[in-house]
Amino acid sequence: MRGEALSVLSGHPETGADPAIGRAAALLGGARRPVIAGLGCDVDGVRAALRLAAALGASVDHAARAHGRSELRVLADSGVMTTTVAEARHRSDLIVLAGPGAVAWADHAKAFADAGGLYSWRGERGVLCLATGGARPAHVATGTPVAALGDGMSLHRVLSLLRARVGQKPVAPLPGNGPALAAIDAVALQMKSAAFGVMIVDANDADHVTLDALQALVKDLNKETRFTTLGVPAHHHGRGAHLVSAWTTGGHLPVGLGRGYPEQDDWVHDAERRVTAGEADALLWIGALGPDLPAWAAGVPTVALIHHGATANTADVVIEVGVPGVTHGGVLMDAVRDGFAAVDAKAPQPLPSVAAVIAGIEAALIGGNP
Amino acid sequence: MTTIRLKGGRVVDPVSGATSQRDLYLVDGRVAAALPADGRVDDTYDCTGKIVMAGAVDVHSHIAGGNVTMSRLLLPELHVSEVAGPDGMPFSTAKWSGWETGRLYAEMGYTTVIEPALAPVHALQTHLELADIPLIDRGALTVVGNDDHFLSLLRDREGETAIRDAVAYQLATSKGLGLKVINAGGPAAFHSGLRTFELDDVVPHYGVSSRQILTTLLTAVDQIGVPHPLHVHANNLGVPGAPLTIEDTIAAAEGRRMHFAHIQFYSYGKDAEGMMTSGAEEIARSLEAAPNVSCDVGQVMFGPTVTISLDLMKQWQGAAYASPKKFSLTDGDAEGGGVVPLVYAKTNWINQLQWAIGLEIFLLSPDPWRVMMTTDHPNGGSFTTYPQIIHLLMDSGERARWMEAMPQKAKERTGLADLTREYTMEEIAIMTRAAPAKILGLHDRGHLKDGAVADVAVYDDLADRTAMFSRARYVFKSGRLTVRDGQALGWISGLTSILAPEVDTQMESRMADYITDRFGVGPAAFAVPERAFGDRTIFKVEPCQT
Repeated sequence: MRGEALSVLSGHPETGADPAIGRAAALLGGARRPVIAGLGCDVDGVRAALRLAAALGASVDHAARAHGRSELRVLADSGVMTTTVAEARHRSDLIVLAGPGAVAWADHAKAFADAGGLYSWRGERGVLCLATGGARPAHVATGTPVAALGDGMSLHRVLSLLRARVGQKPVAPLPGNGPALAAIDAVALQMKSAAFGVMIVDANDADHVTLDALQALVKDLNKETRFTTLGVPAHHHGRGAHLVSAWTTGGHLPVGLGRGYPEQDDWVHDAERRVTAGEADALLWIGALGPDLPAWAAGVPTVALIHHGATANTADVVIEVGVPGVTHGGVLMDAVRDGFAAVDAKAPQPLPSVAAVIAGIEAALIGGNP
Repeated sequence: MTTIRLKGGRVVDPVSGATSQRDLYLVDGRVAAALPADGRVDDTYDCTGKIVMAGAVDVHSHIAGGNVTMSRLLLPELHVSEVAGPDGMPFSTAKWSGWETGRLYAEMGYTTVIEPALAPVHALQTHLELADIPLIDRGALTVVGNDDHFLSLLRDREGETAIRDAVAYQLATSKGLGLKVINAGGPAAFHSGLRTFELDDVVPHYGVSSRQILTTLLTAVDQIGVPHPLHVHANNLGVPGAPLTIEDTIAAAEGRRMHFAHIQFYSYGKDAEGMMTSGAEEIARSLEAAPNVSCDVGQVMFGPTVTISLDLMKQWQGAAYASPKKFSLTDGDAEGGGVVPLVYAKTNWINQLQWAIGLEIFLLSPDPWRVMMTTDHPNGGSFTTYPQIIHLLMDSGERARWMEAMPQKAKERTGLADLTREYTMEEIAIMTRAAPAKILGLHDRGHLKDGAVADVAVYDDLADRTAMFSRARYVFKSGRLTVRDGQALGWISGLTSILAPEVDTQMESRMADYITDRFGVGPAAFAVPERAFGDRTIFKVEPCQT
């Protein structure tokens, strides 16, 4: 694979990846506290990155921070109720879009563009927007007008009010521009009346406290009916990477392997914090699926694995890798069907995979020919 | 040719004959009764004074898949890693990782483990996880019976052939080794808001009863020729009075072969006040009268653990008892799953009673070939407690010691104290090796007959059976030494056994339409192709019955 690969040194193309892999191995192998980050790659890439981290004693993090720091934190703090896109589409008679990111995703993914027809007994689908800042979906099929609450309020505030009213607790008088109590109660009733409601939220719209409140509201609703949630998929294969980490190391990212066993710690092993605080002395950035090398990487010796067309001007060693599902096959989390799927190359090219490059680096580390 | 001699051990293998002191040969990964003709031996291991058994086989242990990984994410505080592993074995001490799972099983002498909940829509994740469990062979049971497609076939009164073809499709595409049903219809009913589900209750909107789902699948298993009987997670798990459910379910099978998962959780009777008592004797009587039925126990052991189940209804009920107070519940495309942490406390009389009931079932077992050892890992406790369970079964004195801590309220409700039976080493070999292998249709293992896969565990013959079975002196996987002195030596990969039943092309096209309608993507997104595993060889196809 490497013989035909194109490699780049300090932003300038260079033919043949082997020398670049040797330099990457030297840069990473000589570091005392390396970090592997970005991690936008397929399952085999994540497996390889974790294995390399074990060999180097590195920290590993993924770029989809909101998913890791908020969504997975709430899962570990208090648990979650969730469903799949397909169940939400077919079974749900009330789609609740909580926050503007949920509206944007519903439109972009077109997951609810039709009414879904598998369950003939389902009533008409209702759509409710909570704290979406005025955003309304353009591509969600609904049998009734879209309802909304709290366009000018924070999601956390709206969820708190609803949770109080669902539980028949009083709420303090709201400022003049807030919704009337009757409007809150109407939405609470709409939610309680759903047979299978699904609340959709983008972790980028909410901190962990807000997501926790959202899950608490959903659990309350389940005392009398069925209600659940759906998270907007994490970018750059974030969900897939965290799952691979979970079965490989026992926990989600970020994880440190400097002590010979995994230590999961959102703060200690946060890649950006480690680099900007001067705690890291080398960075391996993996961006086969993106994202681009961030500005904070400029402060640390960097090896960047990037896709065609991406740049990594501050990196010391740049290796162009293939893109799973485009230049070569691989396994990726499929956001539409909500599970891992094997994908084929759409336009095969002789570019190395992330896993292959990392295997080369590992081989070079132990003194073999890369 | 490579020949290994295990010299002078006491070979306990009831399948090949009476226990005796003899040499055993492992030739190119297979067991050989005698030294090959060339007389050459490459390696000799002195097994004098030691017990030599086939590698153990676990018929039901939740070790991989979306819900197992959900439990990893839900409960970081229950598995903080703090010990470094040896060089060359990354993640070997990473708690709850697949790598640690493989190592811990191997060090106890286990060489094959079956994941019992392979959800067809998430088959690839389960197989990716299984492939990352080293040192053991694996397999998984495909879960059917609660998905909309299957229930719609029943509602529409489709014929046996269509149902057989649909089930065969799920089994083949998910690469399962057998078929399992979970609270037949219960999870589907839970999606629609029901909170209890009996054998004759009907799934809303489909008009199909649990009994109908069960009997339909029993027929399908036979028609497809699945070697393992239908693996049944019955209705009413954990409910006092469930022995009646088991009796009714056995009656519904009408003599067809069936395997009950974790039967301890159905062995709860109730007294006049409705309080829980042991129902182990009723269960034992039901098993005695039904030679077509096998089970695994699902023994409860003490300590914090997590329950992982596709039985959404049960998990929703159990969430009220979660400790720590958190849970996850996923309404999936068929069942989904629930993850609820629990503590089985020695100070809790109900937990003590559950522990005693499990042991009663073992000790009242009519036949070690039909009552197998599991903890339903991790639901009743970790698989790492198996050595303690063996100790309790082989040593009535050990049981008495444990029972000293039992609250009076529990003691009054179990007959455990009166049971004097002690398992023999041969019965242990059957229950943990020969029987699970046989019932899974893995005829090349679980015994040490000539030609068997050279999966062998060698133990020091210690009176402390816990110590003995916790750390095998030697373990060989397919003839390769993987464990010495209770410690795994490095990583090798085992294989995942699967069935490959024929799939009807018409059903394939019907399923493609259904999947595309349901998910908006075609069947390729759900496939488990070999290329997903790169250069690794993962699968071994086992024959279906003809």
